[in-house]
Amino acid sequence: MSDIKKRLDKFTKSNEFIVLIILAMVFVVFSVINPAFLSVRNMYDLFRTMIVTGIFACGVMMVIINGGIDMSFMAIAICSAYMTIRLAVALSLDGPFIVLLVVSGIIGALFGFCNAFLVNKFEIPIFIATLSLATTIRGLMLNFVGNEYIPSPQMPASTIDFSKKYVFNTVDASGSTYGLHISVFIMLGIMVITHLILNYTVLGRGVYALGGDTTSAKRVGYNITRVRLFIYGYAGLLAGIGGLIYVSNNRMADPMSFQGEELTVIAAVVLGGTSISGGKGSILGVFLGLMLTNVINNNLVLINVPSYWQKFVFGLLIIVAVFIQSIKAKREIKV
Amino acid sequence: MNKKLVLPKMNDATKRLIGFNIVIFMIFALLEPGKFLTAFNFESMGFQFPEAGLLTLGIGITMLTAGADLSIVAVANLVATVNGIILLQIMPQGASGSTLIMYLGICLVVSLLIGLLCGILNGFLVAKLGIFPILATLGTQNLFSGISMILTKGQGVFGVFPKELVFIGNGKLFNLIPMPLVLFLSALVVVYIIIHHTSHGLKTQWFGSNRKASYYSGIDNTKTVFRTYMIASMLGAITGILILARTNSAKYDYGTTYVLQAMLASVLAGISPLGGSGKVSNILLSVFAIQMLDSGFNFLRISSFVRSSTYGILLILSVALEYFVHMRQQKQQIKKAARASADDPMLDRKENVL
Repeated sequence: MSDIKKRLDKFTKSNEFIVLIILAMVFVVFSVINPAFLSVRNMYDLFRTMIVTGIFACGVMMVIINGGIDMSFMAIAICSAYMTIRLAVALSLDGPFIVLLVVSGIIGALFGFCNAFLVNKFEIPIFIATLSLATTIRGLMLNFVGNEYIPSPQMPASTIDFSKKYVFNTVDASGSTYGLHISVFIMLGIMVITHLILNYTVLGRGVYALGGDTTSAKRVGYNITRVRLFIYGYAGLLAGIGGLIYVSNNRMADPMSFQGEELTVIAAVVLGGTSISGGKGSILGVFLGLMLTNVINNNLVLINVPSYWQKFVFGLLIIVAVFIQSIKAKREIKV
Repeated sequence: MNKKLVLPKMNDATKRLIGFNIVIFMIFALLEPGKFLTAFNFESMGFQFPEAGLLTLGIGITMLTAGADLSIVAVANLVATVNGIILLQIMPQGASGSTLIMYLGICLVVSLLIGLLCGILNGFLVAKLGIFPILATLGTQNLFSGISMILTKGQGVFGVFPKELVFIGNGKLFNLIPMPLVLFLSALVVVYIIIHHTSHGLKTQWFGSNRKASYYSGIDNTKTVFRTYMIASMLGAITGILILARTNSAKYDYGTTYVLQAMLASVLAGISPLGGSGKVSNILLSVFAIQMLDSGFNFLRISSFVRSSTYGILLILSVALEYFVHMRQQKQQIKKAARASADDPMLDRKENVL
């Protein structure tokens, strides 16, 4: 009994709780102004907008827990996805979707290892290492692999099939069907796996340990090089998978996509209570943070706010959220 | 021995950057002498790089405090947008003489005011509340560009501006030096003096290298960081005027890639993103090296995609170079120490190696 109370007490004092409150308020405001916001259809849409960012966010979160900011995942995502599709088109391969997913994931993981190499070998700050890798690989890909987008007739058939896979199909009053896209489950699966790795494996605890204090982690016996290799490899893998799902669902591969969107995902991860100075963060928080940013970024039109207000509201949201978090942190120090 | 003391003290980054500049200059001078080695080329470079230079200056000084002001380009765009609206929509058409001067004066005051307010907001969030700089300024970046977006309903501002304004972006001082370059160099000198010759600059660097130590030596950390973000926003405001003057237009998303480029240029200039160390004057060298690379590639008809990746490659190369030089020095020192201890049997070998 007291255990449950203790847990509840802990939760109400966490950053996740603040995000949950803000999210609930946003939901109430939106649904009062426009009840259609709460419709199943809109919720399905909301989940669909979260798929790709959700997958990226798991990797980004791991890097942030490790104490750095990853600026390369978007570039890695589009590079691995575009190269995979190019390869499949060139070899006129049309394997099952899962094969393409694996190929893209492996390419992504290799890029991730490059990040790990830069950080391990030269001791470059993570932010700078990933930033320089991102600009390098994006430029090289555009020049040597291709810079034209691949239209949907040329895309491998398996990717097009994948983009049409919906579950829980329902027919609404006007006769159009809608459903939940299958890749939502991939996102949820990845979130669960990430949660398990972080909390129930030695390696996962190493990620937290490294973020908390590198020297102490070393003394405890963690192989820093190997833990970093895992972190960046995993982030790269997720970037590759997310990228391929993105191009499949869009039914075209545009090498120019994902420019300068990194910070939106990072903002979502940090809103969810992941500490940017390292060592702290949970998947639940990331999920809530993502939901909040996605509601703000995609649903303002529903409550009759013109779309050009979106940036302003998004900025305001970030400032308000970090403001509350910092006030809370200060109060905790005083207590 | 005495000779060494006479030479001006250059840090490793300066030497490296001078090397980069010479190598890049030589390569293009040899490959494309007809186009690269012309006064026209260097003049047009003088118009191009000051914008990036000013932004790099602003981001560079915030990086000295172990942060980064991501909102600076948004401040510039906000200033450009507001000025554009004042000059095109509020000022009566074809105004001249004293009316024109009055409106240009209003523009200047408004620009500085916007810079001030943005700086205060950033400073409040970062210094007073202690929010992680990248996150706080990411929020304000969206807020500021959001305001420009609302003001123009997502469209840009463009039109014919008074020639006094256009002169700032396209004119030449004494018919010789491009005005943007004049603007950049004077800003560089001012920031250089602030950072390297005032107590505020010293405090900035101390804060950046060890905030606890600076706190306990009686430095008002909050004030130091607050001021640094104010200066950065002011530089953003100046850049905004320059953008409007040079391109005759303003849009909320102009030059969004400048943020990352400016960060890379700062690191290339030897400013550590972890704060503390760095020389502001190196920014001139790093920005110029990148501009030469850009123009040179342009003459060689190398695709813009490769050009965009040069920042990354240059940065990795520079860091790797630094690493290997450092390793070599360390090895030499170890060898020296080992030799010394071999010569002197009384010394404990282990202690020396360490």
